[in-house]
Amino acid sequence: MEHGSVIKIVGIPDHVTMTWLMMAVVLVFAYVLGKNLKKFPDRIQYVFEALTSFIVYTLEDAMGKYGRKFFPLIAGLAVFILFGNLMGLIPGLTQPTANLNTTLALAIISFLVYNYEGIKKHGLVNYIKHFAGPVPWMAPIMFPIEVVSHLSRILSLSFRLFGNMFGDEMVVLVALMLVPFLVPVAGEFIVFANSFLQTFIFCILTVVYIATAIEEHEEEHA
Amino acid sequence: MGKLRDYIERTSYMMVGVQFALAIFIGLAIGYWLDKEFKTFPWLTIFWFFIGLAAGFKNVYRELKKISK
Repeated sequence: MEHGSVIKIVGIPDHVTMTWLMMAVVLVFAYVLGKNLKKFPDRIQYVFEALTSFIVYTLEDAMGKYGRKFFPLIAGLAVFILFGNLMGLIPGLTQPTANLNTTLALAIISFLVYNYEGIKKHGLVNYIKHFAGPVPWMAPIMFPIEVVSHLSRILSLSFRLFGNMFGDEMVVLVALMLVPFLVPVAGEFIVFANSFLQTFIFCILTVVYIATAIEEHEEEHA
Repeated sequence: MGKLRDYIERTSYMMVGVQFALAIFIGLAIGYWLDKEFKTFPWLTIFWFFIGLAAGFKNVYRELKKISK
């Protein structure tokens, strides 16, 4: 919530402060973890190895040999969104992802990446030609339709994450106001479970978009 | 591995409904903005509304084709 945060810096919005705090925690954590890698992993290292291999398998499943190239992007998104969502569980902190500005930025990143990859793979002319559809005389109608449907991807990505996280916080807050004993725990559980679900959905959709942007061309020429 | 692929595809079906609604709103927004620029209210708004509607249907169609494949 806007007024829920304990840490405040004058002149800087709450979600930016929270993002910085999260970045600091994640960076320090990653540094310490990276320095102390063991051959036989302990629990924490095992969790992160599982996360890493899950992302790698997902990418290879969706894109085949191109998959590993996008690991830094998808893992970065996953860690950012996951930790951003889970921050809501700590009293006194707010979720950076419960603000539309953060989620819109993430969605625009994913939008730019998949368009860039599509253009790089097929060339600018071919990629735009693909927008026009297979029938030449329908191209003037199909082109705006296709553009609108691509723009709706940005909005649906950002609004889903923002709406889910903001709504979850609201549920907890309302439960706190009505019955401030034990009932908010159910709300917190929704926040906890939904954090993972929304992270998964956001990353998978980014993967699917990149995969379709790359693949479409191959289907045409096969 | 094949199971994971199914999950990936199902997740992308989850967004069809939202995209259908959002495409219409984006169409409306573009049309409204163009109308304000050219002072031709309400023609471009109506036109772009239908473009947005078509884009929504196209999204649904694309996902349906993927399911029935």
